Amino acid sequence: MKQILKQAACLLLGAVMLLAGCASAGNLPQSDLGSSAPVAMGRYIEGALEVPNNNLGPCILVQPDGSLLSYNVLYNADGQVVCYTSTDGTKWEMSNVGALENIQQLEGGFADLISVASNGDILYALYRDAQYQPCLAKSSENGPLTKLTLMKGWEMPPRPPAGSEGEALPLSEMPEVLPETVAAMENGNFLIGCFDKIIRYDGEGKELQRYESGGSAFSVHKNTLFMMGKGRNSIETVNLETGETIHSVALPSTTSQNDGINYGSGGAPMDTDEAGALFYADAKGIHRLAPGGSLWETVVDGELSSLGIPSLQVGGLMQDKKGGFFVSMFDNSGVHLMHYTYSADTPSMPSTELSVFALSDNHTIRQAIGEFQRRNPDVRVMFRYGLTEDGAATADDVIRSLNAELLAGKGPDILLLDGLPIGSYIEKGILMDLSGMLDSSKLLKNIVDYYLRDGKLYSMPVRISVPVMLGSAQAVEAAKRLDTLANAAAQSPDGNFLAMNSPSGRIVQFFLTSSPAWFHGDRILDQQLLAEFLMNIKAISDACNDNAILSASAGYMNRADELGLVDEGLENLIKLSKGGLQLHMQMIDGFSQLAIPFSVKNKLENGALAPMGGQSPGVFVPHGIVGINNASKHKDLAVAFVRVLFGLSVQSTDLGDGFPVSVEAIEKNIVEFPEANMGFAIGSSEGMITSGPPAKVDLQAFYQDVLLCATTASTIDKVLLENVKNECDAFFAGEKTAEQTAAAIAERTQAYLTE
Amino acid sequence: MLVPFGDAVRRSFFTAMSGEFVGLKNYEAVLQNEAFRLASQNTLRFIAACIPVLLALSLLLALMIRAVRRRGELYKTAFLLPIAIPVASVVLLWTVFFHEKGLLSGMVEAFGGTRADWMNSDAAFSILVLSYLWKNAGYDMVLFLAGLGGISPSLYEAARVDGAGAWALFRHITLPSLLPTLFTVAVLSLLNSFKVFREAFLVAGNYPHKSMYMLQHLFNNWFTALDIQKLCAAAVLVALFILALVLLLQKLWGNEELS
Repeated sequence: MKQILKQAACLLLGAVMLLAGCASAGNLPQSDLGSSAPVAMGRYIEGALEVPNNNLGPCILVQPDGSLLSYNVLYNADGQVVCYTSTDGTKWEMSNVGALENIQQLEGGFADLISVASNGDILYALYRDAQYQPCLAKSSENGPLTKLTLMKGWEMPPRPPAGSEGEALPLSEMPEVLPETVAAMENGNFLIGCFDKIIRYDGEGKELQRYESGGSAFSVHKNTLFMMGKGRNSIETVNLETGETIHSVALPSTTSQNDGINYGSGGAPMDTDEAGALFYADAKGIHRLAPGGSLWETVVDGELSSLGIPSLQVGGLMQDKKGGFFVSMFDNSGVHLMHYTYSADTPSMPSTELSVFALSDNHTIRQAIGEFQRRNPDVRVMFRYGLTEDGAATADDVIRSLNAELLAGKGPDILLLDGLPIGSYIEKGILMDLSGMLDSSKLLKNIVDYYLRDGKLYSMPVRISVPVMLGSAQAVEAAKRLDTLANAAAQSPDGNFLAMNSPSGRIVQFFLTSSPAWFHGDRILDQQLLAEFLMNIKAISDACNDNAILSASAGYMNRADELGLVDEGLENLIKLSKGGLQLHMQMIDGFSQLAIPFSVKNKLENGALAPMGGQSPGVFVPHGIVGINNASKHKDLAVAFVRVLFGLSVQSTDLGDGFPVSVEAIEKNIVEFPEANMGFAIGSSEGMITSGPPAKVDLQAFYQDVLLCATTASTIDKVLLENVKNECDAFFAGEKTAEQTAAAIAERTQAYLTE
Repeated sequence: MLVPFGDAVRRSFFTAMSGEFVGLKNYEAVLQNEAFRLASQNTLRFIAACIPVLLALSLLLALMIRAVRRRGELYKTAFLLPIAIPVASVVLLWTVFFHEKGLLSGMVEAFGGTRADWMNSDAAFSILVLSYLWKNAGYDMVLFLAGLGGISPSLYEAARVDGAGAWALFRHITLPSLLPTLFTVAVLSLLNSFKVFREAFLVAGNYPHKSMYMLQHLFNNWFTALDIQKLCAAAVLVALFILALVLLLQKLWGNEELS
């Protein structure tokens, strides 16, 4: 009997051990549990409002009855100020300017309005006169504007005469007070916000108190001032009378959109309600801080609204007196006004969730998420990326975790395939064929052709970067091939054909534009081409005196980090412009990065800009390679999202993460970018280069000669690069021939390439 | 435990994601894969080099500890310490010793030699073997001590009475009596030999020097590349090999009785 009991116990234990660790069938997503589970209701819904004349004024006020008032400056010869009003922001009407009508007469000329504030009885107008001097004017009970005596510390140095070349003002000559915002207090006093302080004045302009701050953003509630802390990572509550800091609370998120701009009441992304609660807006949403509290409550989720769109910066936040918010945001196309109203009948979270996965954060994806959610408010896009700044996981850890999800059939709906084993995913049918879903005729054909597999398109990058070289036409022509580049460098009398680098730095510099040529078919290394590469690199290195800096301090000029940085640094671009170098190479990540190179090219005698030379011509670096998971439960939504990604709106937004792949977006940028009223400047110890936007003809040439000629994707293969660098020490020291080194590299990478 | 392995066996006959039955194609692909051949070769070489040496060394240490009357416990603790050292500390130790700018390079340079990145050279395999021996010798020594403690002293007394010397005692009494223990120690050492991957991975990453590239590296990389079908097929082959080896050892040593 005892034996039977013992055997039964053993069997039971064995069964428990066998079955332990089996996956549970629980943890289904909320949306899959059907309608029986209660759903939390109530959410702020975003609405985009029209703006008067496609441009909001620098000053928007919310009236006590909740209507909006916008003061715009018409930049005509008279610098006329106009006023628009709207009851709810949907329709604007021109209105009586009121006291600001005579603002031009104050100075007898043009006045540039900076900010306007009112407490109902008194109106303050902050403006710059024709001499760019900031001034303040006041109107009581809608009477005429009178200019206040110039406050102490506001004096600007005299402006240089028209036509003369301006110089940067030394810090010691900068005025003490650079006003950006004004706010009117109930007692008639006013507050001026500067980038480093808030100043309280009485109604006549006498300074009463100063409060050191981290920005011009602030809000006032009765006798309490809320302002940015000096470290720009907290909100400080200050007693206006005593100047004492009552409270300091960390900002609700670590987003960098924390500086107040002069839009809206107080000109800040913060506002207080009647109870003294503070509301603060940033890319993560609108957050509320209870009076005296230290915890923020997010009332509007940035991820579900335009607040999270990278290209939009939050300008101002105002309450609409009905429990909602007006938020002004701006981007390269101008100012946008959003209205957030509470809807008790809307689920607090959208019922459908679309998941996007990437190894790293991606601005274009965030841009698309904002656009997509605006169009699909009942869908929540969850963007998850594995590598975070404070995380300990490596890329391989994240990929393995992702693969486990994919194997279980629970992977994300959309994958950003940068750094992921794309070939393997395609081979195993993980990715959906996009060729029927995307209109590939609207995308760059050369890029599409690269990603086609047997006529099907499983993945496509949303952006591309291109390595280019810049110099005289002769130098650029010689640099198209490594052997001719080596000859040209050797013939250069001063050894200044290229900027100095270390030999291993040269390997990395030309790795991107050469390594794709080393492989034939499926991962077979061409040792002969690799040997040729090494010989040419050595020749270039010797010609440029690279060996001379081997004994220099570690890290000097070694821009060849493992990410394959092509860039030779901005100081070398400046050197090229002054004739100190003959050729410069760099990666171009967008239209805004073309201004300075084209400026230098046009200044050079017979200057040229072309795709960077190497063994593999026409290289591009893909970013945000998108694929849709074949096992996705929301394929239609995923396709719709991908269409937004490749749509004109997202593609034409320059986020500095690469050129668009949409033909329409490129053509739009070619037309609009030269007309953008912006200048560019770079400076270093070598000097400074300034430039306006590139000319349309230059952009057109770049499109034809560089973007359309990009036919081969290249990314840094870290394993291969590391093996090449490790074996090359002996080669550069003359201990091995190029052929022996190439053979050693092939042997080292055998396992890697044959897996 | 058996369910996941059963799933691996099942997956070895199907494609990774679509679940299409492919018969023995995965096995064929694995056996023809150069990386698998290299990894298998290295793993077998490692086992062949380490296990016999480890068994001999740990048995010798056990016999020496038993012979030492004073401070035997102290020596036992000293030999056991390496296995208690965390892997991360061992990796740090390796880096300090074997890096191009490490202690070993410094000593070599002091004697007129040239610095080298030892973990990226042909010496990498030897470092791996030495590290394995250093870490596991104490553990196996303790197992042998337990085995030695199980041998009846009367056998030795009777043999001495018959005029047997030390070698005869070892050959005719100790060794045969230790065969079951030898089997246990051999199997455990074989299983522990796979754990050396941890140090190799942490020091040299996914693709170490060719001589250190083991089966675990290959499996790890295949999982990262989602080559599950090859991974499962290779895992089944390795499991069958280990099972065969264990059964062979059991037949040779496991059921022997002291006659």
